[in-house]
Amino acid sequence: MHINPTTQGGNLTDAESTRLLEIIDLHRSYGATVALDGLSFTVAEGHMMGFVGPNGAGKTTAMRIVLGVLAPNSGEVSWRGRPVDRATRSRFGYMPEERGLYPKMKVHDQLTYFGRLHGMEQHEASESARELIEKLGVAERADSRVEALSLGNQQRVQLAAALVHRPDLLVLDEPFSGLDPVGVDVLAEVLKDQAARGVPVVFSSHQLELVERICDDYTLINEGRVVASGRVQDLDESLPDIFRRETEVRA
Amino acid sequence: MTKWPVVKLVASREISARGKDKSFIIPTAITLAILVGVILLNVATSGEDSFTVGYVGDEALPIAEFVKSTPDRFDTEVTIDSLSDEDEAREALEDGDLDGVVTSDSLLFNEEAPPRLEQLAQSAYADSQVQEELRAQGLSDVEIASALSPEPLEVELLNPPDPDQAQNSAIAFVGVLLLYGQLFGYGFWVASGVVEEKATRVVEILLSTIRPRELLAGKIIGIGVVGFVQLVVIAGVGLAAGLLTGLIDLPESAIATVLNVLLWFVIGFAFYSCLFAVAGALAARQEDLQATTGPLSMLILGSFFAAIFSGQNPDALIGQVATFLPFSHR
Repeated sequence: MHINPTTQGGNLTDAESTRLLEIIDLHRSYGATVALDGLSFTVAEGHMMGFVGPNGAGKTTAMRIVLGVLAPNSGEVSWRGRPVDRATRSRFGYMPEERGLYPKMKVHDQLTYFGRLHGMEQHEASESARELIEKLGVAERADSRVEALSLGNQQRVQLAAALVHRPDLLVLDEPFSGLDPVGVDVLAEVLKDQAARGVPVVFSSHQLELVERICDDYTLINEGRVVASGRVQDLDESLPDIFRRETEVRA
Repeated sequence: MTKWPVVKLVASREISARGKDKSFIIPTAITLAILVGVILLNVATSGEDSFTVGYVGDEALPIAEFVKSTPDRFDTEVTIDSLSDEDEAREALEDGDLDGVVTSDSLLFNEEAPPRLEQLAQSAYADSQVQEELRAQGLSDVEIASALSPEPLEVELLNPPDPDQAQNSAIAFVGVLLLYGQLFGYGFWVASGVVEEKATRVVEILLSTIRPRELLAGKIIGIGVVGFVQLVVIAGVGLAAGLLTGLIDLPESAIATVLNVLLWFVIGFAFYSCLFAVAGALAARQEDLQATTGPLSMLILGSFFAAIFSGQNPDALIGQVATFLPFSHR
């Protein structure tokens, strides 16, 4: 276990992978509340990383900063060694914790729209939306309004919205929360597929057990700092209680 | 740097989402129906310059005929009808079959005396009395006729009003009314669109993809285009109906006024929609919108009344001051 997050990549030799996403010393406060206090971590090409921590640890704040929805007080996010800008971010896929879609828009129209916002042509976005709708098993609801879908199906469409533009990086905030065991398996498969394409995948979760099962790497954070990080096979059994307890409660 | 293709995308989503919405289509249809209805009603009731007058007894006939023959210069058409007695006259008046009744020594009306008709009858009666008097004095009919119709005085106006003014100010009034409705209605759409994106959290995905100002510009342009098209349709139908029925007889200035209204919609909407977007951003839920748009509604209402007041008193100070303020319509 590496306490210093900047040496986390030391687990991976350069031959194994390239670091694509680097989070460097992020600080962010909301008034007097410190959400991020020098957070740093990296994600390598084709790796799936679980981002674990208790409520209020700063996971959502960190993800919002990566996606540019929120600005850090200080620190930097870089992609392939360069600070991220609009053009780079339009190649990122994001599933926010607070799920959100246009309730009155039809599923296929909506996904096509998101694809186009990310810079795809109409036919390209439409085709990609159709493929995803089929792959995620909501083909028969393609022309339904989102508000008419069950919560489980809305969740699938939300995932499709993060994938429709074939992103270079996937950031998902608590993607497994509220899913039944079948849903968890389907989502895990989709994420593994993405990682196999070389796309780095970062997702936050309360469930350490889940992260151990499907991720390559993990980063544990608490109070806005990295507590531990590394490869999941090296996950120490003597982790701080706070993470284990969370796992038991959730499992 | 704002990317216009993105703004266009957002705008076209707004247009297709709003244009298909029942809350757009149904009110538009109702507005058009009311507009055409009002114009037709106006045309149907504009024939009130024709009267049917009854007379009772032979003594009243000369007065009735006088009423019928005098009106030429007033553009008033009168038909006369003989009645057997006063009871029949009262019945016909109450049924609305007659506008007035002349007897040998009185005039009968139902609820009120139409001023023009009463004036006509009174002067016809006066003329007939004078005529009788003159005849008794031994004047010939020709002399009587020339004595009774002297050359009228010539009228000269020092500051003649613009002959188009009545119609122009009527159209301007309707225009201000429409502007008020469009600015408020579509401005409110912008505010509730902003709240919708916040309340459904879709804004987080949007803002991870596009800039806030691209989102705002697209929303304002999209909703503005829907409002503009609706205004064009309403104005077009109104103009066409007005011209076809002859209610509007000055096409050039009517069209100029309509174009003016359209121009002011574009400018006014650009201004107010941004304020409405702020009101939307201040509200967390649709329920809060009433509170956050309140001051804005007062501002629009205030400028609406200023516009109406200035329309009636074009030289008043308020009109001159309002000209310099961005939030007043005209």
